[in-house]
Amino acid sequence: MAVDIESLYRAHGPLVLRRCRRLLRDEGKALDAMHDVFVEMIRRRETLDERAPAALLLRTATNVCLNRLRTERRHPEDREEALLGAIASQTAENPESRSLARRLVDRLFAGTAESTALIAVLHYVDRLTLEEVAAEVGMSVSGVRKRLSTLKTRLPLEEAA
Amino acid sequence: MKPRSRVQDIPDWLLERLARGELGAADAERIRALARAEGGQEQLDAQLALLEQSNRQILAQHPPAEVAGEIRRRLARAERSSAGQQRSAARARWLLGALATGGVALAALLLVVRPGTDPGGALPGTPGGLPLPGEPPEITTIKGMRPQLAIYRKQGDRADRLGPGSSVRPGDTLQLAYVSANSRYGVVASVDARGTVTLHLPESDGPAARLAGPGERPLPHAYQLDATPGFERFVLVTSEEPFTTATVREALLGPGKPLPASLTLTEHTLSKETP
Repeated sequence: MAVDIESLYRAHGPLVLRRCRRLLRDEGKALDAMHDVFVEMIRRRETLDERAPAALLLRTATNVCLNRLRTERRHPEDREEALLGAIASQTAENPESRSLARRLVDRLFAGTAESTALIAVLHYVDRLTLEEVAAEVGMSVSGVRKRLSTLKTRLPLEEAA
Repeated sequence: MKPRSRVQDIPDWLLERLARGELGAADAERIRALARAEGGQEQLDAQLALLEQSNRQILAQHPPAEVAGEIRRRLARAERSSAGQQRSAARARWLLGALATGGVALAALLLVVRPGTDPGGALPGTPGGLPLPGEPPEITTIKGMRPQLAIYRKQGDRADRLGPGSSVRPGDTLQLAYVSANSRYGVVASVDARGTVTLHLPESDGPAARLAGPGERPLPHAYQLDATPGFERFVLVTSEEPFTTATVREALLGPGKPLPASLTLTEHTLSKETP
């Protein structure tokens, strides 16, 4: 069945663009990333969970933006931007982190688990509590804590409330 | 855990979901109770109203018809790129099929089948005899067949096999698989344009993995590509004797450091599209 792209964007585009603006801090880059979020959703034939489409879109937008941040070499303007950049680079270039993030990706035909990078952004940038992060990604609190423990020593952090 | 004390501390992530009625009843009530407790109900309502105003502004600044057109253009570009990769994969499959059936004149290929259909000979269940009910089927091996490395990309509910030189994008999910061709030990690794080596099998440094066989064996976990530009070179290194991941790392990273002659190398290099 063909996707009604205009309706999809009308319903969810502003939320996605706000998320990309928050993470990329640049209107042009945010707009570009927003387009790619919808392309990715449509190409993967993602079925928007009717109960929680915003959650899926926010997660996808976060992952798209993190991928962009990994290739950027930009001097951070504030602490949050520095933290985002550190999460992006530490979850890509550190072999141990990549290995751990990869372990979270299930086998090809069995679905995809959330990445450590996304969990780190939710907790350290969005400032969700461990319980809220666990609820968002469908994991136990101890599982979330374990994922974060590998990054904690390499990021400029203060614990979220 | 310290509870939030102010309405303005509520993360945007939760506000967005609250605005859409997506939060569970308990979570939504927790936020509303916080607002009521500190006399911040008006502030919460104002924040939710700002989201609505932002929705209208964004749709006005970036009209749905324009955005949808751009999304369609990017989809078409992505589909063209994917179609090219499928043709490469189809050519690779044809070539492997030709090798397997002996369509290509290679002296090293020899098909070996264990005898098991001679009713006048060995007893069932013994070497050379028919298999007993419940026994695994006869194993067919091809002498001289080389180890193989296969790479599949997840596309919705299906997996597309990628041929050497295929283009991939950041965020693509790949599933690696190997055919051991009777090699006993192996390492699957990749190196990107920045020289970052990732171990896929085993997943940490140490001795090479004991390979399974026969047939194509997927690795335990899929692999999501990051945004490092350039390329990602995937290798399968195999041997009859034990070896270590350090040997593979040295060969991948050290110029002029070839693999020892006792190791066999199979590789695929994928090019990364720039976002």
